[in-house]
Amino acid sequence: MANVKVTGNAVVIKSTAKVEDIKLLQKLRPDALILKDEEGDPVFGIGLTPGAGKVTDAGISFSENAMDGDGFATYTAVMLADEGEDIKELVADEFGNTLTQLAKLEAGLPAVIEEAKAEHAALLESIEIG
Amino acid sequence: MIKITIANNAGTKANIFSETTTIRQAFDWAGVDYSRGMILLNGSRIQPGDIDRTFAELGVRDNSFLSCIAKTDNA
Repeated sequence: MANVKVTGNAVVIKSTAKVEDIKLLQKLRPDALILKDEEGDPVFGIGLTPGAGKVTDAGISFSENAMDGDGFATYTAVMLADEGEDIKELVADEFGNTLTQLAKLEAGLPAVIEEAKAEHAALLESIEIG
Repeated sequence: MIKITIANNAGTKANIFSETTTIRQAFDWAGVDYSRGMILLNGSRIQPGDIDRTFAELGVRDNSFLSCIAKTDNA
């Protein structure tokens, strides 16, 4: 499940997927980045975008730049709380649905990422230079 | 991310796209021939030169409806 951390006025959602893995899936397994309901209709998606990222009803766009060195995709928002307000409740209200859907989608990603990496490695192996 | 419902004479398909997706990429995903017919985005006509512009560039911020409807007769 994605990690959520509040520091100062910043809320950071860190995905369990790395930016490079999302880029690979965008090329080789784009459907894996879309969560569908029982009827096959798309309900939630993840992607990458310039800047700090963006959350909408349809999904979350993580920053295409992984700044802290570990490469995991992050979304950063600035939130302001009133004095004495429960910060965890505030974050849960704002991002609860996003985090719930994200957890469902991320659960299936490791296997697909491994599959896509193996396919990509085999492709590179098949290319001769010179 | 935005949910785009894409329609043509044959029916509709929906998917979730990044705001940086172009109109052409969305039609390509849906298998819609956009070379014939009028392209509408949320009811507003899209000019042929806009087909390689992104949803963000066209001001789309929320779930939207994209269509390419071709006339099927000589009317």
